[in-house]
Amino acid sequence: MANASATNATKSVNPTSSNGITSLKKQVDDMKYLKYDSNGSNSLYAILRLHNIPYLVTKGDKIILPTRMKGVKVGDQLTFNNVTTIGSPNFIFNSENGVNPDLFEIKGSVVEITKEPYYEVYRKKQRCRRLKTIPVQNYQTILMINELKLN
Amino acid sequence: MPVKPIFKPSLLRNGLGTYVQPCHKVTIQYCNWGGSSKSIRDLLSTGSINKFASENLNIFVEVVKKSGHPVLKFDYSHDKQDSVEVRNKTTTEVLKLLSDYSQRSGNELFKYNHKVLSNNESVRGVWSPMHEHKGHRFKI
Repeated sequence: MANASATNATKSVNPTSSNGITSLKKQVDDMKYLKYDSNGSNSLYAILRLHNIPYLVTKGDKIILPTRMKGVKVGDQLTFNNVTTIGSPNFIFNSENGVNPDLFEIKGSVVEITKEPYYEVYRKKQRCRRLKTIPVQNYQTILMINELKLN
Repeated sequence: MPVKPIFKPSLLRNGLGTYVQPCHKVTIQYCNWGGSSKSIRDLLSTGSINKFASENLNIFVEVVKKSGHPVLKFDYSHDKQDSVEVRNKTTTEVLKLLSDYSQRSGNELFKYNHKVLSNNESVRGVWSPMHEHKGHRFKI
């Protein structure tokens, strides 16, 4: 995405200049296009990283983690600052090293900590007639994105 | 024919603005005599239930003395209920069940095999080959 040519229908903006130096001033300049196109952050999406896994979210989305998130309770507010991409219908702001967290505000709340439905896994060893039964019921953490805007 | 508007029902999205915890009431039912209620009696005498109640101020905790095996009952919003039998369970197991079930929404457990659940329309819409630049289009 970062190397898409400017002639494409979707314009990509890479904050890293040709000599590899990231300048904040250029980033701020480039966010103008996104702000203009974002329809008051209604048509805005972001790709954020949580435990280094990317999640493409818009405002009001639920992120479903297949684990129990450590150190959080239901109702807690989280601030996401590891974001690689922010986009609107016509523009993308992309940075592999992460977008400067001063430029946006993405927040989420822990809505639910629950479990997956119960199921059993069977394991069979060679030359043994017994079937090992392993009960599985993993935790789930559900986060809701309640703030996604450009500063 | 007159043009009819498409009816779009409003979505309840708890947590988008304010968040209200779905579990609003916990009923702890125990027996004062039976051996299976021993852990609940221990929790009540050591004050662990009081601690749980003071930590979760938006949950109404009710303790019911009734003969039979001990049960934890959870009341969620939308008139949903859930109950767990806790006979012969240890104090730590009972406390874990209390904190687990009080953090649920009361909905049926389900596994969603995708990372993000969204009710919004796609921001970028459906990809169309007609809007692709001429140089990148597929040539027949």
